[in-house]
Amino acid sequence: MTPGDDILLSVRGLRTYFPIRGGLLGSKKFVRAVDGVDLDIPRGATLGLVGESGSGKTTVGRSILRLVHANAGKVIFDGVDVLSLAPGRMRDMRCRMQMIFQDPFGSLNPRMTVGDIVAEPLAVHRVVRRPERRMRTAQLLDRVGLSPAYMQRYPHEFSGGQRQRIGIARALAAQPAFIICDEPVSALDVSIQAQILNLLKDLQDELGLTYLFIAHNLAVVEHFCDRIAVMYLGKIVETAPRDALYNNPRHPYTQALLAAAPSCTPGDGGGNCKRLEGETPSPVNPPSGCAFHPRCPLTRVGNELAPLGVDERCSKITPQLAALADDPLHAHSCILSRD
Amino acid sequence: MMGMNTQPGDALLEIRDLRTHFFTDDGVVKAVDGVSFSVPRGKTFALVGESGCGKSVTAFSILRLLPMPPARIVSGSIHLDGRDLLGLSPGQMRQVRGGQVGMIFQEPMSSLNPVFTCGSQIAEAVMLHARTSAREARRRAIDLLAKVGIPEPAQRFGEYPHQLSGGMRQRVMIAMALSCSPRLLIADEPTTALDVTTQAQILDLLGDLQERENLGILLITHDLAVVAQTAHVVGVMYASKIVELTSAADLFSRALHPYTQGLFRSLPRLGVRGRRLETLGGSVPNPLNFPTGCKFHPRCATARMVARTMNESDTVVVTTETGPVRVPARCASQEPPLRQEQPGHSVACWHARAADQADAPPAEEEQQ
Repeated sequence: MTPGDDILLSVRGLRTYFPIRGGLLGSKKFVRAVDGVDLDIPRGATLGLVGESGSGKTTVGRSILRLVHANAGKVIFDGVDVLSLAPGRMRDMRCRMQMIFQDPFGSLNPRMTVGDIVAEPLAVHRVVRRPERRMRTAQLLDRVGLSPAYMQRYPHEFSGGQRQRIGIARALAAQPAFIICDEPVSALDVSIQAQILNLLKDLQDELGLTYLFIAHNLAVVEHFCDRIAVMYLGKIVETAPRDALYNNPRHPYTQALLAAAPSCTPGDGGGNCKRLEGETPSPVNPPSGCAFHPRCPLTRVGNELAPLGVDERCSKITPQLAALADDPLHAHSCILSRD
Repeated sequence: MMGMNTQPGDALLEIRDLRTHFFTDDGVVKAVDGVSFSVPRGKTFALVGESGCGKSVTAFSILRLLPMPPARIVSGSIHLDGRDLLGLSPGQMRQVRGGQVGMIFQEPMSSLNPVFTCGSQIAEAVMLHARTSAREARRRAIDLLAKVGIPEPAQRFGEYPHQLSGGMRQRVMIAMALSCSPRLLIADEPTTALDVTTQAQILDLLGDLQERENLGILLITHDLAVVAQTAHVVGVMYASKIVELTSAADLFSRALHPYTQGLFRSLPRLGVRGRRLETLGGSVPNPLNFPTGCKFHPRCATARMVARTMNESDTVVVTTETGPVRVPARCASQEPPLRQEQPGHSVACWHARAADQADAPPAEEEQQ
């Protein structure tokens, strides 16, 4: 992001904790789902937010739209501080920020017709007057590649790909500038995935949309996003423009993630490359220092300073994102891979 | 070309002309309609396809895990180690399931019983098949947990499924499936619900176990990347039939069926950026109402291309989801058989040669 870029959405120090019942003495504990996240998305760009399940990527999206309550931080959308808006003002704001969900089966009301589903945001946000609603709904369905004749039908009559198109039409109805796409294609078949990704790309070009694209599939993210942020246990561990991230990943977690993604070349990546051991720790009680240190290959391999198997700095110092000396857009939080 | 040209009886699992139909109120759903393939000993055969193509029904037919009715295996044969599974009594079949054939499923949480400990569920399988004492079963279960890479197996023996992560649960499922030293493991989307780093661990584990135990694996998946990493032989299914059958190396270097080619082109790949994805237009056909002739012809780019080079009298115009298209008359009227096009590489397509030459994306799609 060069300073001259027009930033549409800016997130600073976002923290979202979920309280859970504590141990024996009833002490309060928290799931630190999002633990200090900064993001900047330029107008018209796509930021990919990648991470494994439980990394907090979905909670970031939901916190931005205030679908869950953020404990701290700022979300600045087009100059407005979203987290401090009154509820009524927030509703107006939501017509500029929309969301497409992962599950095309669970996210459409089965008792509403497709026409009613797409027309609802038109009514709620008073986008068009009542007599024009039908026509606008037809236009929206047509735009996402569905016949307006389907308006009287119910969601169960459609395939997964068609339902995702309905979800996209509903998001577009409010005329948003910004759409959070939460795993929009991971429930779809390969041949349908491509249709939906192309549709999202076309809509972006046509309407100048800005996307936050939440996904776990690294190939899809590489195809679709301009800039990528990698999350691990509620924190961003690396962020960079697409080419820099895929050509030159600096954080050991990003490297492990890319190495684990299966490629379509038979025999490639089988057996030889290092596998990440263990599992993501609990976000209730994250490891001290760098949350990745118990699984990190870098802190153990070839490090004489670490007689106990882990470099002391990794288990004690909480690392901060820092940009590379030669690339201000590429930042990561690994102390050991600083140059 | 492992296992492609084996003699009958040489393969571990041999399926010939399997037809599994569902007799429903709306009509007969031919979920599997004439599928033949074999799983070589100690190798992995992958059955790959999109949802609804019949790959899971094929796997469930082998173990007869389908509700009958409405399902019925209408014809075909399934031989495991030379023994006809379709001729077995229900009691004999129970010995096969979990005995010679182990199975793991996509959802490790719903395949494990939440009210029993993981260890006791494995021990139960051991006791049922090997008739051992409870103490011996417990010892074997702990060994199995260690074998599938679960740390502190004696302690994990007493834990409940909800206390384990998704990857650990899948390891428990694998331990259970391996409890009676099966010859064949059926893995139905074993890593679909898992994260990439966990998926890599589980695929490595399956590869190690295969080598150590000379295990034949029937892998059911929709993920071409997983196929590339693990399979030796691949069958691509579309609309209840295998449309392409070859070695994994061959499939990924030179797919011959237009459907397989289309799948590859629509796939975002690591290392490929920004290019517009090509799409297979339309969607998978409804099994109650399959197209006539080749079931892929309404979506087939090769058929359209070939039709342009033919006399108009040899072509027909068909209506598709995306509008009317002209295709060769034979594609719309006769179903192509799966036949050998190159050594060890079979394809069900009337125009596989044209498809082979056409495997460069058409020019108009490459812009943008």
